[in-house]
Amino acid sequence: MLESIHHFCLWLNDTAPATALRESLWMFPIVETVHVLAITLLAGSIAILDLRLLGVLLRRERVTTVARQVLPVVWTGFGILTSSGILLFAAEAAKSYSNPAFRIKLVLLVFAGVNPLVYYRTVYRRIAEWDASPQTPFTARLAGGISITLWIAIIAAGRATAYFN
Amino acid sequence: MHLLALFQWLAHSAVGQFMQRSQWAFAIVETIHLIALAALGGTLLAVSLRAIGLLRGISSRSIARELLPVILSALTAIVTTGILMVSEEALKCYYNDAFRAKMIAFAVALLISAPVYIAQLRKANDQQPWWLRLGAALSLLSWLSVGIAGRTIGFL
Repeated sequence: MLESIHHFCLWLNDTAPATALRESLWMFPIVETVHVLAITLLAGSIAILDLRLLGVLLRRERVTTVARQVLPVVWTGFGILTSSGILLFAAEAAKSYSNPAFRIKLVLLVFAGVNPLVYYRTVYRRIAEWDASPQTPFTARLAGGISITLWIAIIAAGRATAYFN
Repeated sequence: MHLLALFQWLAHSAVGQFMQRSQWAFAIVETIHLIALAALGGTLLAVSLRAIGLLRGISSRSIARELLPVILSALTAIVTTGILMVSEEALKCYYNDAFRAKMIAFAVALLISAPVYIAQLRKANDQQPWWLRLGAALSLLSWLSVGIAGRTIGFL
């Protein structure tokens, strides 16, 4: 399994587009800048919803209203981060494979994806009961707390990836 | 040059000496700078998009009021960590064109966004006059230029 992932990384690293991006003077820094700044769209916006779930901010607004307000930005950020992230990974696939910070980041990203899935399949099913209340159920607060912690850790791991490269 | 003297003083200050000697301080401080960037950017974006008239869930005054503490804390964190990073390589920053551009853009961003934000906080109704939408759009663009110039510092 690991061996075939390694081979895939080596193959990706040597493809023509990945090589061109890696060796480009401006494209790589531009894609990197887009990736770093787009984190504000995703992590910064989702944090507003997380803080509402935690009962810290916007307590008088419905949870669904806050979600409607921030989720379009979150998904835009997700699109930009995923596409720029795949490009950056492709350009440095061989190095990234053995980069410990990058490995940690990928695991954290999986958790950050599973967390909302669990949230929407459990406590969110009864949202009508607690949508307007300032104090949300414990599971909802847990989801908000986990989300904000994970995104902080993902930013830290992402920054560390460049230090290890 | 008074400004150069300020940067020299920062480099020789106790904080500057600590940052230059420590092996991990810069990496940790830079990571906090980035986390604060995400918080500041995300909240400013929510307030500005609402002021522009996009995403009309929450009233524009209430989102501005509710997010103000987060914005001010993130701004404090980002400026503090920024000064710490400058103290590690003060003279390099002083002569770095991207750093100079970033500081000018930062001043412009503060000058544009502060009055726009205050106007939004004081608004009695939920209408968005054209000058407020324009101000919010300019504020977002100015913060984006701070971010781009900031990322460029490391490339020069």
